[in-house]
Amino acid sequence: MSQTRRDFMKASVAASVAGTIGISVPKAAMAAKGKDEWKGQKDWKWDKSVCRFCGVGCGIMMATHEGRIVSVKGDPESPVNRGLNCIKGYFNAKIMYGDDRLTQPLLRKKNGRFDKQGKFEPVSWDEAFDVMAAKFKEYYNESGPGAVSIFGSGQYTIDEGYAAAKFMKAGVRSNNIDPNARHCMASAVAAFIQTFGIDEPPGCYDDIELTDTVVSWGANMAECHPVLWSRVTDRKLTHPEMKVVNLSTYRNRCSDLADLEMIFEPQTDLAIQNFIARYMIEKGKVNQSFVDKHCIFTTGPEDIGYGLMGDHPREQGQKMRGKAGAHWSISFEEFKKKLDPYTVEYASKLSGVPKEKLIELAELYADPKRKVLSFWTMGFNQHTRGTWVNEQIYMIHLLGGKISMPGSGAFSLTGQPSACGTAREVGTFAHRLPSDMVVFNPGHRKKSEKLWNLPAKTLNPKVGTHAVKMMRSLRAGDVKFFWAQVTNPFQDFANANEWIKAAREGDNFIVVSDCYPTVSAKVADLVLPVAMIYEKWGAYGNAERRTQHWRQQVKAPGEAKGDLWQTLEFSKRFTLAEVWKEQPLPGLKAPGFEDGKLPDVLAEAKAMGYRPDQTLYEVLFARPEHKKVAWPDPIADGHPNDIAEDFGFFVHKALWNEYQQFGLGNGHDLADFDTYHRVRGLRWPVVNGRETQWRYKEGYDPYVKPGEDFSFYGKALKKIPSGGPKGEKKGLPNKAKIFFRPYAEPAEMPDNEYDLWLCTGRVLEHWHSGTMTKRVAELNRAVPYAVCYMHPDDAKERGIKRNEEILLESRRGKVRVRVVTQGRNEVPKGMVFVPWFDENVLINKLTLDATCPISKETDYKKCAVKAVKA
Amino acid sequence: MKVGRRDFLTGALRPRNLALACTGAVVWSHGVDEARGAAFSLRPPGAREETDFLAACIKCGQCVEACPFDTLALAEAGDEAAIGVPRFDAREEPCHMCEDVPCIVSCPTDALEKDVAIEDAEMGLAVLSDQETCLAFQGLRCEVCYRACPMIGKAITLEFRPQERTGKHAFFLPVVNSEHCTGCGMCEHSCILEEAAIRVLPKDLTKGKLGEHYRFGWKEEAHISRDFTAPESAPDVFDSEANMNKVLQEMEDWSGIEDP
Amino acid sequence: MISGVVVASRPENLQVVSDAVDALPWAEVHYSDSAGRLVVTVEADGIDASIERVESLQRLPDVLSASLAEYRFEEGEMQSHPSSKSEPN
Repeated sequence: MSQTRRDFMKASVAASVAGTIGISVPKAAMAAKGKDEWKGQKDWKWDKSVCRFCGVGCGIMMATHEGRIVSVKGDPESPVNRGLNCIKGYFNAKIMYGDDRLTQPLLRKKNGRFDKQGKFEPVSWDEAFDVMAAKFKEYYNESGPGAVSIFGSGQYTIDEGYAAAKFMKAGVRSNNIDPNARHCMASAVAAFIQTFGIDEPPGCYDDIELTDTVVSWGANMAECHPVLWSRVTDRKLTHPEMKVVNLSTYRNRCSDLADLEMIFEPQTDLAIQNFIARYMIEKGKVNQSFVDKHCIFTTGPEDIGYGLMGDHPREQGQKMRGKAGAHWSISFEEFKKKLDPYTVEYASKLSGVPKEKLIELAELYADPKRKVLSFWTMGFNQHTRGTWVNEQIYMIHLLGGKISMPGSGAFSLTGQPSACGTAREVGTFAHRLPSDMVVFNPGHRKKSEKLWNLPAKTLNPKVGTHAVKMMRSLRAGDVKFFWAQVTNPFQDFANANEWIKAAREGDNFIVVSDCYPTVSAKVADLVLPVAMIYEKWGAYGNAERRTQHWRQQVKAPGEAKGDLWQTLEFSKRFTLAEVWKEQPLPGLKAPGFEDGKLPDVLAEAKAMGYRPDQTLYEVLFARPEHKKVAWPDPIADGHPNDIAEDFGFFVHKALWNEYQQFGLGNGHDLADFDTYHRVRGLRWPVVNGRETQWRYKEGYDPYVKPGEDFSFYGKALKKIPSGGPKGEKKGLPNKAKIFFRPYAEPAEMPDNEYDLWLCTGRVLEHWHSGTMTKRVAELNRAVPYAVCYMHPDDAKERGIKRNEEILLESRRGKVRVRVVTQGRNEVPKGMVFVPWFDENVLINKLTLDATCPISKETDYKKCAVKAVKA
Repeated sequence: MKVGRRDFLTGALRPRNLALACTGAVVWSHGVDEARGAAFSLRPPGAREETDFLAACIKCGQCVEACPFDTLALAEAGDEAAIGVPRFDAREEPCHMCEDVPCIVSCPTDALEKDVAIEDAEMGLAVLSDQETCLAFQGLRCEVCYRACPMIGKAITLEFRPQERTGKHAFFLPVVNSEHCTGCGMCEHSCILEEAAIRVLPKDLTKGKLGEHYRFGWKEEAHISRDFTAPESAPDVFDSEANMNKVLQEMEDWSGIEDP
Repeated sequence: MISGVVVASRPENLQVVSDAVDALPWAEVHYSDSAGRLVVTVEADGIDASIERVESLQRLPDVLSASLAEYRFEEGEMQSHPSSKSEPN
């Protein structure tokens, strides 16, 4: 050890001890001592970055020195958090240093060969990819593109999601890629598309500082979006006229701030919303000129089922389960008539909320002088009528004209850092292409084929398997190759037992790219070690449309590699001849694909200058225009880029340049790569160097023409039948839809045997499946395990004492868990709440895989369970 | 903080700490487990006033036996309590406030007063002893102590204050209400700082200590002078055979979907 | 291995103690306060040697107590120890 190094250590030990015993270390003393630690700060390299956790998207600053992270702070210049963080953000850098970090590929082997029943052994990347490609091709050649799948994530960086989607859709011609964001905000997406014709919230976080009213529906912002809630709290404290309403099925910490708390029976939010609309109409509080000019009334079928398997009793008689998304325009009179049953008495009876509270809430929305901002998260989205309940909040805001205006809006929050930026905007969904385009639209395929330099008809028009269907297909043996990237599906999916069993016992090959030995890694056949957030370049898009890029700060340990590297390396193992040949595709029905097959496009490829022996890597990711984007690049400012070094060009920037083309001119404009490295994020659309705070509103949104006031210019689903399901199709340019949706019962309700509701969710201290936060000792000490929150009377009736372990059981599985009868979440009688971060209390063994039939998002908030003493 | 001889003999060099120190994660491992000096000895719920308690306690250890958690222990030589009487250190393991209070039930003498409902216990009083390091007082969204409190909303409440520096956030300040605080220590135990900023009294008031790696971003010259340090030899740890053995062991130990 | 040690003395003896500690080839005084406390680093090969040296500080004249507060291993030393930490729970 060098003398300098030893001095450095001594200084640091001494400073640490001095700090511990309260001896202050004066600056003069530091200088006098001349220790490197203090001098060293001048050599630290500070760089902006983004928090790894929720969708709020707080900025952080990181200092590195000699290849190590030496300091972290909230970014004082970030408009989102102004230097503040929650405690997860505080520990951002520590998530990478758990001592069970995965550093080498692991393959199940027996007698030196891959064996599904074998034990994990460390293998080289070459061996890992050899086995992986062989298994992929075995299933692919046997059953076609429908047999392979990637399960991605709202935690993908934008480039990772883009590369994975391009590999699947343009490369191997399979649409079987879907993100865990399906479980998170698919309902919000479906409702945005159906209502506005374009995805993502119209407003932004600035609404908080401008509003008079915040209504939180089915959210726990106090714990799950802590820094945003801090802004709501400030607004409340500094503006006494401001009202805060908390609607939830149990009492959470948002109630601390709320003027009005409404604890309602699960699923009855639909009825409450319809009452509010009815009340507004009855009291003459509809903003008539806004509605007449910019809106149209619509509805759809009611018997749409619950997204369960067709033989489930709940699905019987649900005639429109295959056409849940259909909708048509209706007259205002018809709309009004449909709302008629939702009197305050009826809404109060269903929801259990006193009438006067319902009226008080309705008044807030109805008051024309009051600005209202509604927030929601999983209570709405994870709902068997998730799309409906999202659409109903727009119904209320549109009726009052309280949308897309500074201080008024309906804002769907996200739980993952790039659910918007990657999953939605890049389109890593089974039906999507970048920039809100869809695979079943011939025009969208054509545009994508052009931008991607693909022969016509390379892209597959058939919607792939969405998340839940992917697991069901794995069980049925239809999907045989499954690759999970940046997520932990075998802990995340409802009805987990089924899928874990299918993965372990079926004829299939499961690849999991992960940073730690998660449940999913343990289920896998092949585990690929990944580089984590600050070990790679990347970009996330937060819930207010803010795109934020960061640079690599440190190197990944061992042989861990970024997901982008993995996708690109894997793509080197496929030649065009293997994938662009004629492909069978059972169930394919689309104009131009009448023979039910994906055509051989090799001849046209040849005419475009491709060779059949070229690899997908060369054709999709390393074309001459990509390789022209050189590394090193001055924008790196001395920061490393391991992936660019490995491939010999600036892959991230090359892919960004290409991806950017998709959004230009169609409402999804993004800025150029370098700009994002100079600013604290920008909210798209970014037109002429300006970001957009409020979309659809004249003066803010560059797409709204002078004199229009508002323009809901989204293009999707804007031609619908008029007057009824079979009416003539009419276009509705620049209009938003006001949907009527009825109340519908939940898929599973408590009965005599399973007599409690189970609701699942999060706690502030842990994030998602706990993979990262459980590795931070301090967070783990704060909340070491998941507990079951239970009403004291329910515990007493069952002879359960506080702190005792119980068995919590549903029709699908059971867990052992400790009971808490007092604490942060106060559940009403008849309900229990269990957070899902803890793999040792794998609560998703109990949950039901019922989904919203439109969005295909699972309802994790409602199923029936029983509790007995362990 | 006073660093006593006891730590030298029994704390700092305990095998558990030794193992931690050897991972290479020396710097932050001590944040959680390093000897904390003279932790105050808290008594079980229902304990009478100290003189009466010491007179009545026969050091039989039954309350320790009855405790379903690793909370209660008999004081050892060097602990700041008479040898053999029950005590607990909230930072290590707090009282979980069992409904039927098995420690009291098991006490064969009068040392622990019978019929004390756990909510009425007075094991101590939590005090937010250092606002300068408490993250909530800097405006960060922490308040772990508040949410960990079994008497949340009573023993610890939050006071909201606008945050003038940012102009758009708020402070969420934990406030202890002595009337409801039982001194269970859940708050002190859960504090995510290296040294808890909230502690259960009576005790020497000591400074909390921030995580070394974090600085308050808006204060360039923050008084927090120590910084995040990655494990000195992080790559070595990751490459080591031990890391791989640990990973493989975790894989191996997984019990799959067996029912509990 | 480098250990951080808190040496306590009476305030009036601070200078004497400080000089005595600094005279030792393996010890260095970094900080002190008016209460008579000194922050000292001690270099030694391994834990046993460290303990021995901290005990010899304790035996210096006018030293009330010498307590080990923190220690860090140097590069290389760590390699000889198992890389197992308590479970991340």
